Amino acid sequence: MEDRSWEKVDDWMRLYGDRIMRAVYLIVDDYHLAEEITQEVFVKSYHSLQNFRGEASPYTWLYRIAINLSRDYLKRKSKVKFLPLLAEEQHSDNLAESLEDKIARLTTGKRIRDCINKLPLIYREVIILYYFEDMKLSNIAQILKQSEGTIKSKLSRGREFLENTMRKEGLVNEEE
Amino acid sequence: MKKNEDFKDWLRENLQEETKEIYFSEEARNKVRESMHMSSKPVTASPRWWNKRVSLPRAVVSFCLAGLLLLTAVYTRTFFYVSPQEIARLEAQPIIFLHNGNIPFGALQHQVTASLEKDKGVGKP
Repeated sequence: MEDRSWEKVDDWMRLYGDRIMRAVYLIVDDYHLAEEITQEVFVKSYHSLQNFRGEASPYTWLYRIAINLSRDYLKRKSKVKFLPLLAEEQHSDNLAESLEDKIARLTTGKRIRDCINKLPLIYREVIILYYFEDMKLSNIAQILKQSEGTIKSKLSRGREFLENTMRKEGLVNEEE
Repeated sequence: MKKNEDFKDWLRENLQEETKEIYFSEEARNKVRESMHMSSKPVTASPRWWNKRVSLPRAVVSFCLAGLLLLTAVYTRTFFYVSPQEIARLEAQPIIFLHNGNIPFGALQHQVTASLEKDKGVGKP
């Protein structure tokens, strides 16, 4: 039984390791931390395998572990940003570097990632799961253990927040 | 503003481009494997007595607990009947305070009192 568990987790690592790593990286914005968290995801899944009854897909279950661990790590590292602080940070960046230089330096992807990092964690998780992982709302609700209505609401607010941030960055234009 | 689907595709493509070089390294995977392997290894060293697992039947634990409660009750006379006469006797027991020189207060008081009356007492303190 022990050997089969080992093989199962090893299989999951092969199938989902990179995907989970990338999603966690977008959430925590730190490569080494993302790697550490991803390692812990699989170690934890190995130890908690008896809790996995196969009701959800392994990926959903692993993702739930990843989200919970990311939250814990971010709380410890105090990287969670709150809404009122975000505008000030943006202005301080502009003082150091002109917008044109910034645009020249950063790729669109990096700029989008910066905008996503400015989102509060509760919206960031949903945005990444929905837009980057292309998950259905029902799956996201299962992962985050919330109702679909709550997820829909967070997604809507998160998107609005993201678009406002992107507009300020010059990534998106006003609708004609 | 881009429409919903366009926005979604645009966002996803850019984020995928941004994370295309992010991989769960082989070194990290090996660490996980090592951790799993260590967890599944049988413990060769026998645990010391305070780390050993102790398992007692529920009946034994209940019986010991009940016995302990009974002994405590007997020792403290919790369930013993104390008659009013016994209470009175206990309350009537003299309480003697010993002051300096180990002379009981009552005796000291008697001596002082006796010294004040001419034909009473042995002598002055």
